[in-house]
Amino acid sequence: MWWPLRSAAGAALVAASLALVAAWGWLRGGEQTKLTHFFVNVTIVVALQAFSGNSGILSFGHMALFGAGAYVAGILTLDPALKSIYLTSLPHFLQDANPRWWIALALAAVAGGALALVSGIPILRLDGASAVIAILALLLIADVVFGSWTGVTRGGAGLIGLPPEATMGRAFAFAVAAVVAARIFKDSKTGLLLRASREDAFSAASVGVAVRAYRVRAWVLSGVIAGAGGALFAWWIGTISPTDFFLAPTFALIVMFIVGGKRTVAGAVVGAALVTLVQEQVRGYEDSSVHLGLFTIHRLTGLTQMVLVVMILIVMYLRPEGIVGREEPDEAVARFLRRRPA
Amino acid sequence: MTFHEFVQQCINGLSLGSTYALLALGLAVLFSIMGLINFAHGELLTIGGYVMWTTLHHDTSWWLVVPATLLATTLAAVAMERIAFRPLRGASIETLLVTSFALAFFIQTALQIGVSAEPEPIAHTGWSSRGYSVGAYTIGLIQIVTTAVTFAVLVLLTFFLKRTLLGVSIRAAAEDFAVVRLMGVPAGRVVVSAFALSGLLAGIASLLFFASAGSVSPTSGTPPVVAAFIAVVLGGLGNLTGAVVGGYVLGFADQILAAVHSNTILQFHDAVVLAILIGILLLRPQGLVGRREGIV
Repeated sequence: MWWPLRSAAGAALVAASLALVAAWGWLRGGEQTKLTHFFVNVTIVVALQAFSGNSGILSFGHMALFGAGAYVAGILTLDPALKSIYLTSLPHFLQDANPRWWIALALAAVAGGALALVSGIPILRLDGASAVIAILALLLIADVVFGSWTGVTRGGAGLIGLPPEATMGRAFAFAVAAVVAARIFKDSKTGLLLRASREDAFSAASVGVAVRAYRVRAWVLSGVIAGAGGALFAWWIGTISPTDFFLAPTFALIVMFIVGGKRTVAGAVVGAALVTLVQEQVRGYEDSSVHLGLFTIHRLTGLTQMVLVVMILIVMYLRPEGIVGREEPDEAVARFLRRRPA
Repeated sequence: MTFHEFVQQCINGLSLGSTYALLALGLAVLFSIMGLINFAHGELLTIGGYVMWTTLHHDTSWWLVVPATLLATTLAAVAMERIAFRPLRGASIETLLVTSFALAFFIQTALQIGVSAEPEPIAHTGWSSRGYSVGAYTIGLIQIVTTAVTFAVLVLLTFFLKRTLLGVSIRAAAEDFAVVRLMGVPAGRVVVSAFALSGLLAGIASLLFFASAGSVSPTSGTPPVVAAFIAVVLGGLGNLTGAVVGGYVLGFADQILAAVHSNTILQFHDAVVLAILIGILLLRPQGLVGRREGIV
């Protein structure tokens, strides 16, 4: 079978489980907002997987790409009447712009990809731990820009009243598209050589793998997916401010990526499912108080975060390769079938 | 910028760079020995801040606040090693990195739930806001103390690392841990001392930082330590001299650019500084002091 088709067929297993979740939510009703959140999380963690899973460089900067997409989509689709009040430094053509959702989403994806290209060329010259920290620096730069460019982003006050364009169906479609794209990329020549460089960068380079160029390609693809995911996130949540794209969400993203298993696209989806479950179910208890014998803790601010910490530490100590492990489910199934003669 | 402004900003940069250098050293010691990028270093700083808050709140004299803070951060660093990192000895750089990131959020959240998410005021002692005029220049007492303490620490640290057996073991382990273990140096002792050293350095930085910061919150350790990360990479990752150089370069760059920038750029000041530093790394990926290694 032609390889991209085979990869897509492999990803279909994951896509089908996403479809089951969507169908369940659609039948049940009332859970659609939570499921939209899940699909947005899938999109962003799959973006991270496309870069970090294949290159082996853990990125703490994806929220910069995600945020760029969110702000582009948010600024484009905000009601022009509100724009003229909030965003005073916006150029006129943007003040008046009110594009259809899919045009705004495409532009957000382009913005994510463009930011990735511009940042990736210098940052990915670095290697290993230096690259990790330089990518973290990108996150800090993005945070300063989101927070200080008040005439365009409204700074810390955030963009309020974004249109609810992220329906569950759209979020589902983009999650599936991200899963398929990431899987095809992983199995492509670029993805394969990049994974070789992840295992041993020196050996890969010595047989002619242009490690840096491949890393930049993965980073740009990742930026495009993250930008689109950012647009959906902005429309899902309705209000975006710089803290939505800084360290705490970065941590949640890393938990999704690591807990499921960083080497597989399926692992990213599993991680997104677990983290979304925690975010949606635990958040309700944050305002409650707890009596521990003599002590009473009045507000459990950060309880969600604490649960995520415990989740990731358990995985780090017991199963560092994550829940799914090294193989995609379809690969594991294929191997299992091959072992037994028909 | 006039010459006068330039000198004044250099004075400010010297003390800012000193704080960064202390933090960067603590990070570099751990990275060079065990490949750990310790995100939780910022939480050592924060813990020091909370100890200062508690003790100063009860009108404790500075002669007790200083040893109490240093002891707390050193013990916290050793506890981190014992509880979080010892079970992961020999694990991949990425596992250590993720664990330290999670540990940082664990401590932050524990402080949020256990103390408060709001900043707590650290009683302003008279001496930290006192300033002197030397000719046309203003120098804060805290700046003098910070710079002097850092220089003293650097001298003592150099002595420790060059003249004592433990210090030489640490330096050797930073070069090649495997060979050092083959030479019969107990690995556990080297790692624990490295953590204790990084905790002590964080404690000193904590005293200097919070004496002028005025308040402490669960997340207040993050920004200075993230700056120290950048300083470490700038100097050359895993290189102790580089960490100090990187810290001072970052301090000077930050202060001098703050004077150059017009008001419109000033709001993006931190972003500009970071972008320039990434630019430097583009020219020297191995850092200012580091040797050329790597593949791409």
